[in-house]
Amino acid sequence: MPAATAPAEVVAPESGLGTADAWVTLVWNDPVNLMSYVTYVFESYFGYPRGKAERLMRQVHEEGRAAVSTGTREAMEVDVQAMHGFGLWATMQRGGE
Amino acid sequence: MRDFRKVRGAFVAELEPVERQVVAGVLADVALLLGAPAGPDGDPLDPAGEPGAGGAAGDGAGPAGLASSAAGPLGWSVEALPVPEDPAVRRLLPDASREDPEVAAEFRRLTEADLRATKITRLLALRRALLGGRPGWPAEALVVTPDEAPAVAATLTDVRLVLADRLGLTTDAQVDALYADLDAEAAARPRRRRAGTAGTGGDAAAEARRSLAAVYGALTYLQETLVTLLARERRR
Repeated sequence: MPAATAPAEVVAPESGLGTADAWVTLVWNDPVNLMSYVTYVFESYFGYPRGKAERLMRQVHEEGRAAVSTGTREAMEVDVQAMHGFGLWATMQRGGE
Repeated sequence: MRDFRKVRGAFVAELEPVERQVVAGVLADVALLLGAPAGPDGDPLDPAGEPGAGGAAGDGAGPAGLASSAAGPLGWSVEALPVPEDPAVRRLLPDASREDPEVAAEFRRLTEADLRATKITRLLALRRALLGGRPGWPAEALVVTPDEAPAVAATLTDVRLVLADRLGLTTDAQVDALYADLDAEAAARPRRRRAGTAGTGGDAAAEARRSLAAVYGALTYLQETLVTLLARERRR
């Protein structure tokens, strides 16, 4: 998987917001969740194309975590709750940290 | 057990009666762990299930079936909620912030009751599907419609997360080792049977761990095959 393309894609929306308001949803690696399932969740919930979903899944698996969405705190609460509903280990934090 | 396959527009796996009972038992345990109220027999009370009515309750299917996630009347709490003590429950309802306890506490207050209710509803729906069967299908068939499949896949994740905690699986290497053990055991089984059981049993704890591991392996297989079908459907 071309790891070099992943960070650019993840960072872009963050820098676009560029306000104190920007939060990010992180998904963390765990030994239980299947790669196919994590990819499916990123595709079905966020509507990401398969390639982007797979890149994010690999980033989670190989780097231990990936930023999967950015937005206001309220929007990230919605995303984190959805991830917990799917059984993924997700947290939120202010962007750029 | 047979993996999920697409049959007549549905995703269908096959489980033998004893496998159904074991998996249904684990589903009930996880529902209780998440706070589902227990009935007089110790099983979780299932508001949607008619005891003894077989698959009739689940047959309304569609939105009222496995896919439904009716939350309780109170989706959020006024008071702060304590962090769950059981590590498995904490994994299903994790802290939403690693560095800010206030963010985590606020998130828990707003979302935890909802998440618990959603997960319990899904667990009990899958348990009903396992125990009740579905009219028009063979008794061994576990039938999941495409609408219901995301909830079933998520529930299989929840159950596997709890089993993994009980099995002490915290790293990828430990999980790989568990799969290798299961494979080795499957390969050795006929030989052991011929040699008799003496000397192969080990103690009760080891036996319990082996059966938990076997359930974990079976649920992984079911989830993988279900998600493969689901993803294929989505990408069509």
